[in-house]
Amino acid sequence: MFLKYSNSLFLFVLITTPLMVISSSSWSFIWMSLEINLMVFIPFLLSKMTPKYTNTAIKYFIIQSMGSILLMTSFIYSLLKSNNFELNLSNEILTMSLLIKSGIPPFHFWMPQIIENMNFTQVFMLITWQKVAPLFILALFISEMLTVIMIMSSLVGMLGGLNVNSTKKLLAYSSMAHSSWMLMSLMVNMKVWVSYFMIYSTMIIILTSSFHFMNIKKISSFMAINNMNSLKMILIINLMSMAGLPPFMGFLAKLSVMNQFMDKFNLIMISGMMILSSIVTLWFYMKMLYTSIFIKSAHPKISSIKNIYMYKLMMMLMVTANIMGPMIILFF
Amino acid sequence: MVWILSTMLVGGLISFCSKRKHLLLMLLSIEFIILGLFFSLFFILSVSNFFFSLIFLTFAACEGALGLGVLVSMSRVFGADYFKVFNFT
Repeated sequence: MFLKYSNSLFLFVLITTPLMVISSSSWSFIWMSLEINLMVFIPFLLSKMTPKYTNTAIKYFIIQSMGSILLMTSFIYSLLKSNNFELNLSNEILTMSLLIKSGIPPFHFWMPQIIENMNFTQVFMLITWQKVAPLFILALFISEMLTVIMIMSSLVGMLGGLNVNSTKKLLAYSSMAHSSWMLMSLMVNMKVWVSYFMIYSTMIIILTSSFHFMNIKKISSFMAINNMNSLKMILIINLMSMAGLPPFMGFLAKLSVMNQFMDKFNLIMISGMMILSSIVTLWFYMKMLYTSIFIKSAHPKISSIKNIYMYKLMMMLMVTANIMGPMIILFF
Repeated sequence: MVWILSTMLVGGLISFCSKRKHLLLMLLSIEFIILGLFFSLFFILSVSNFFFSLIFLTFAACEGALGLGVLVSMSRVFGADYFKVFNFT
C-alpha cells in the first residue's frame, strides 16, 4: 500500500505543522512549528526498526536540528544591537538555514544518501511537503544571494542525476533541479510559487506512486514492465511533463515562471542557464523512458499489482490533468 | 556579549562538525549551541518579561529528547552509537 497505517499515524500533525508555519504571525511560532514538524517526521521515518531506517532517521534529525539552530541564531543576530556590531549577517544565515532544511544545493549532500534508504511514501513527503515550510519563510526574505543559489542548484541537480542508477536518488537530484525553479518563482511572487509547487507535487505523486506500485528501485528494472502498456503511458506523460516539454503541465509551470521572472527582472543569462539545465534533466528522464519503451527484458520481474483498477483510475485522472491543463488555461 | 554568543556558536559548530567516534558528542554540541542561544536570549529579553526564553528552553529540551530517542533506537539496532556503522553512499 502506498499509505500504510504506520505511516498515517502522524499524518495529521505532519500536515498541520507547515500550515502553522504559513499562518503564524511571529518568529517564535515559526520556529516552534518547524520544531514540531521535525519531531513528527522522525517517527514517520522510523516505520520499521531496521538499520536502513534508523540510519535515515538519525541523519535527518542531525541535519534538521542544525537548520533549526541556525534559524534561531539568525533571529538573535538580527535583534542584537551593540556599538561595534554594524555588519548584519542575519539574512544570509537565515537563507542558509532554510536551504539546509530543504536540501537545496550547496547544502544538498544529505539528500541522496537519506532518500536511498526510505520507502516511496516517505520520499514523497520529504520531497514535496517538507519543502513548504522552509520555502515559505524564504519568500519573506528574498535577497540577491538566491540567484547564485538558483544557478548552483540547477547545475548540481542536472549534473548529479547523470551518474545515478537508483530511481530514488534520481528523484533527489530532480527535486534539486525543480527547487531551483521554485526559488526562481519565489523571487517573482508567492502565487507563482504556489502554482509551480502544486503542479510539481502532482507530478511527484504520480511518479512516486508508480514507482511504488511497480517496485522500481533501479533504472534497469524499467525494462521489466512488459505487459503494462497503460502504466508505461502514464510514465511517459509524467516524465515528459517533469522535464518541461510542451504540451504538458510541467511546461506550463516553467513557462509562467520564466515569463514573469523576465518581466520583473529581465535577466537573460540566468534564464538561459535554467533552460539549459532543464534540457539536461530531460536526458535522465529520457533514460528511464528509453529503458522502458525500447528495451525488452527476457525475464520480466514485475509481478501483477493488487488494487490495480483504483490505481489506474487515479493515475489516468492525474494524467489527463497533465495533458488538459495547458489547454484549459489557453481557453480562459 | 555578541562575542560570547559567537564564541559559543562557533565552538559548538566546530565540535559538531569534527569527526568523532560517538554520536552522543554530536548531540551534546547541539545542546551547547542551544545553551549559547539561551544565554543571549536573556540579554535580548531583559527589557521585557522572559517568557519566550522558557518556551525556547522547552522546545530545545524536546529536541534533545528526540535526539536521544533516535540514539536509543540506533543503539538497539546497531548495538552502539559509533559513526562507523553509517552508510554514506
